[in-house]
Amino acid sequence: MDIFTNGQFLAILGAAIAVILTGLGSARGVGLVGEAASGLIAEKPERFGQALLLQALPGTQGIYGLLTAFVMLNKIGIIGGATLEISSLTGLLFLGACLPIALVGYYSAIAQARAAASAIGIIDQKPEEVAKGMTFAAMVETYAVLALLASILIILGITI
Amino acid sequence: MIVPMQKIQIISLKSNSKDFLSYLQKLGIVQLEPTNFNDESQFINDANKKSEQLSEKILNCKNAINILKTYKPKNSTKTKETITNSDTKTSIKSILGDIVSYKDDFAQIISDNDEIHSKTQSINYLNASIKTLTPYQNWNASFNHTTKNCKIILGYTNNIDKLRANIEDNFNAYLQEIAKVDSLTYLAITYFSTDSDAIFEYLKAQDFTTQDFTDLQDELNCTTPKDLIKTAAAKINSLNIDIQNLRDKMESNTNKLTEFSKYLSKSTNLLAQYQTMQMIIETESTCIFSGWIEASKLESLTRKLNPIDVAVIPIETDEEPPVLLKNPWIVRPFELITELYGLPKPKETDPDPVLSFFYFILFGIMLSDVGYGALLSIICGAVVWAIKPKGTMYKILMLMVFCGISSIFWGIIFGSYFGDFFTSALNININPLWLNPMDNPMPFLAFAFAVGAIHIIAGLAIQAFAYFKQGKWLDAIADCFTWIFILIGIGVAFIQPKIGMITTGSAASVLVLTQGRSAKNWFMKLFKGIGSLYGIVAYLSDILSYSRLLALGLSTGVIAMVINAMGMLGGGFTNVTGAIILTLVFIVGHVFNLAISTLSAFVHSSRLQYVEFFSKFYEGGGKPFSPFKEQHK
Repeated sequence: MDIFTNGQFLAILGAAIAVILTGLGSARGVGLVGEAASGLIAEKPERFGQALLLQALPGTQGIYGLLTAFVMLNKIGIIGGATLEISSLTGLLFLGACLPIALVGYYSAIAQARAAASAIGIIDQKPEEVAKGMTFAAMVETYAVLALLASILIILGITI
Repeated sequence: MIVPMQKIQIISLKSNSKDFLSYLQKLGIVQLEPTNFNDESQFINDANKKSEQLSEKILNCKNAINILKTYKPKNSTKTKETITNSDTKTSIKSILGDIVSYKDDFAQIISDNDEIHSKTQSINYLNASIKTLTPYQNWNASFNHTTKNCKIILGYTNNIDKLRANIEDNFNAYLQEIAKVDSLTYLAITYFSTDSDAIFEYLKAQDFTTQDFTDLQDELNCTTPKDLIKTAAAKINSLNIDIQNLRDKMESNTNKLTEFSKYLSKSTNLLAQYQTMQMIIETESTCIFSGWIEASKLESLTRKLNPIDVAVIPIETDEEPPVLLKNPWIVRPFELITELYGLPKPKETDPDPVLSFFYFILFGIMLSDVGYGALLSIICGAVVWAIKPKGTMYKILMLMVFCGISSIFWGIIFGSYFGDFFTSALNININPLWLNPMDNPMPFLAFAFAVGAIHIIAGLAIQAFAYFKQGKWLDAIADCFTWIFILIGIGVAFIQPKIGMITTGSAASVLVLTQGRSAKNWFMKLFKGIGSLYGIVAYLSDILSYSRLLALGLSTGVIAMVINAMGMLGGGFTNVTGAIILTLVFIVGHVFNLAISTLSAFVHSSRLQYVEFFSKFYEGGGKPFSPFKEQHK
């Protein structure tokens, strides 16, 4: 059972959770917008480009998760350089640091996807107004951005 | 800035109203709108019906042109004729004459094209049939040949020995090989009609595929394989000749393409005239046009229309002129951001000059990479140079050219060149001009907040300016300058606590004293004044929102680092495989990151403009100025 108090393990668990949850959220979100967009494209295939922009929006959370994991793995030396010994406490700190982006990322990806999927209706009716739909979706993303910022600032602030 | 508009009314004789309308369309500087009259003049024109009929014909014309284009001989010299003004000057009568003469041409071309398609399909079907028939060509009887007691079935199998052994054991049948092609043996099986059902079942289980040509036999009116093949081939020949004739006809028609395109262009413009005519009041002998024109172009219009009189109509207070923005070339691309939100109202200030400056900076901080910025500028600049787009497309591309330049600037400040590519792959260290956000996030965060505060102060200043212009100096001081000084005071407090506190405190007290000025009794005045201090929360959350500058700047850089790390897995430029891997990952990865990061930067810079900046002064909702003009396709 030593493994659960191993700092290295705890840190990597955090990185994994960040990637997994945000990835799940983005996958669901991008899929959701894709479904809504396909209905539109069946009738107006020329709007594909705009629909694709909207579909890309909830995909960023997955990237934020990966980004957080990368910053941490870089810091503890798993990527590039010698692996550092870290204590159980530091490991737990890293695990905690991953939670903001993991949880907020998961939820905001789906909420943002709902906003983006509704904005597909804007493309249908008034394609020139697509920027407004994108802004509605971007309002949701703010919170993923804030969570990402919190996670990264915490990780960069932890001293090993 | 917003171009001032003038409302005009022109009265012309009904007899030459159509010529007059096409002249206006050629000028393309007047936006026509429905004329309002109190007395119900008879609205005697059938423009609505006419425009419906015409748009149907235009659709046919477009189809015919698209079809003809595919038949254009490839080696013919490109005769891309630009349509000159003299071509479009033709009168409506001659266009309507063209419609009558071309109408049958369009229908003929469309039906010929359909015929070519259906004939090509028949040829394909016959060719396929010949291919399946070929193995049977030595079989001289007809298919499905039936006598009183016997039947013949044809087909093929890939295991002739097994089939032969089994079938001759089980049934009273005769098996005759016709041909062997590769592993397949084609055969005819003769059997008693009484066995029919059983033998079918059996053959199905034995990998025997029956072939049936009854449809083809009926169609070609002959029975033996040889005859079938012969007739099919003959039919293909005749079909080919037909198709060739049709194609020749099409090709000879392609020289009408220019005529057709001219016609299309003319009739599209005519359609616009019809649609406009629905807005014109006609009396028995005159037509009345009303519309908007840029004030600066009024004089030239008056001169051109002489002796027809152009009357300038006073703009009523509840009337909103259409909005046209005119800015120097460096600001113009950024108008796009405002247009996407909604044009300013005619009496508002055009936010573009200020917006362009901040958009340029914010986008650059978010993308902040020399490599990406250069790619973005070069690609978009090349597209602008190559295809010379107009309108929205031009604005988007030029916007990206400018934003790319800004990204290069900020990339140098933060030392990002395709992320850390030079460090990781080439071992060249390029020091950032100021700081590396990965190592030093806190100063960057403070910087982001400072940019945000300045952005918001600029928004407040625009509002203050607008108040001054309307003579509402109290509003300017109480609603705008108080907040400006509170924000400045908070900023200064980090460096000079005392001065900062005093500035903020005095501005806040002005706020408390003035915000209740609309309330009636002194208690409500005080209550509202103190309550207004709560607004500080809104301003703080606005400023905190600029932390996305750091987050997105980091995100571009870190994704680039991930890509570079992946590229280096093969060892980088030390060996051949490593170099190939690095090159591939570099191209695919960085193009992906450029696309996703540009989208993010675009969306989030726009959001900062719309939510944080515009909320301080901007309303929007003006109607765009769209002059009645010719469109050349």
